[in-house]
Amino acid sequence: MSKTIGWATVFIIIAGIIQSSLLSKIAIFNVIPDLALIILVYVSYVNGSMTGQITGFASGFLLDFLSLAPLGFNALSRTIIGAVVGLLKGTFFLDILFFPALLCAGATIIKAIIVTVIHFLFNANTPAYNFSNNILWIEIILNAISAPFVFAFLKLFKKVLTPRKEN
Amino acid sequence: MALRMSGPSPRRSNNTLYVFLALTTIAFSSLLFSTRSFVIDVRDVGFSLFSGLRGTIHGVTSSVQKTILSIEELRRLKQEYDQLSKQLERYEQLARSAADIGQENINLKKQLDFSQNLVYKHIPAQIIGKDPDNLFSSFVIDKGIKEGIKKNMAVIAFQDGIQGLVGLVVQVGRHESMVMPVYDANSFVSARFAQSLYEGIVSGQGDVNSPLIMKYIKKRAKDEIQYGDRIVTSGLGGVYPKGIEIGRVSKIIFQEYETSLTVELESAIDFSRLEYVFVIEKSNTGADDE
Repeated sequence: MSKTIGWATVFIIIAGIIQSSLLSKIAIFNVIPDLALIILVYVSYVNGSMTGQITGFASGFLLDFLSLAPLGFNALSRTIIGAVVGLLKGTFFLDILFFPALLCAGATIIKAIIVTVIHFLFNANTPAYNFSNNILWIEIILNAISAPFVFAFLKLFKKVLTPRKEN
Repeated sequence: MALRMSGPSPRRSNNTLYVFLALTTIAFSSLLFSTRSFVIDVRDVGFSLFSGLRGTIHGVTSSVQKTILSIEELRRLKQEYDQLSKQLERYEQLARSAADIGQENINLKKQLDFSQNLVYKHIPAQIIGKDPDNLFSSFVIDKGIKEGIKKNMAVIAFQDGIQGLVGLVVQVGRHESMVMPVYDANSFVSARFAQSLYEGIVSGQGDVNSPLIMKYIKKRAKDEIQYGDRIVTSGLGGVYPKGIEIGRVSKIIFQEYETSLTVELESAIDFSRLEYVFVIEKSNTGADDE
């Protein structure tokens, strides 16, 4: 499990750096897909809640260093997302297209809800998605479109990202 | 032999739950500390650790881009060269007129018994990345501690002949720095109208497409301010040097029951075209400090 968490965290941090340096140049309406979230969703769904929440915690903390987010912001939100998505482990067959898109769209909505709760808990000192704004919905669509490709890429690394008995 | 039903045992589920609670508590505590400005700035340490990676990826992707798009790159370089030459020429003109105005200002200030004018130097930098989170609006420049960048240095840019305010350095690594732009929701700039001199606070709305908001303007300014009026930094607070253009008035919001006036302004800088910035340092903090 620790090997899976370690590798997953590395993948997520690389995704975060790519989001920051590369994807920001091709942003659509100043919105970029959250590749780090998609990777977390894959790892959580395939490995379960324990791996998902620890991966979310570790990668979230490291992502906070790359962002203007307060320390703990991404750690908290991604721990919860990892735990929740991990509860769905094995529930549905992970097909190529439809389910990854649906899963990541759902995870993005969960992220928005968690961020809104944090926004209220901390007296609006942290930002929140405006549900009437385009940013959230564009991010949901971009995450859903990117999910099948990212999942297909991550399946190439099954040996390090999935439990040994399933390999 | 009966097949064992798959699924987590109760004990395993409990372990998962305990770990989940522990992790969320730790993350929650971290967030609590970070929003209260924790004593040790762990972020600076962590940010420095990753400061090389971003620059490396940026370098690699730039090389690949330049190789593949060599013709486009040549054309772009030519345009960029012309643009930078013009910027340099403008900067030299600005420096010359600043020296003349500075001398005149010194004479006037001697007569009025004002304190010495601020003098600052520029550190040029390039934007190499943006915030990976769509919720936050910071961007990263390719200069850090080694080049003399410090926290709370103001950042400006020259664009279309205008010297405009870009933002504030909020985090510094060894070779990179993070800048909070003026349109960020947590950005607050002490400002004044360039002509009428009424003061207020300019803040962002968190979105580059939304206008900046200037609040706490005296109500009597309503008859003196107009659409298109320039808003500049007032220099109060000692963070931003005074006289740097922030934007122009695009909307005046006046409510009888409000105790002050609010205006919306279009930023002087087009952030979608922003590539090069200048980090400025004040050599002294003078009388503009509160």
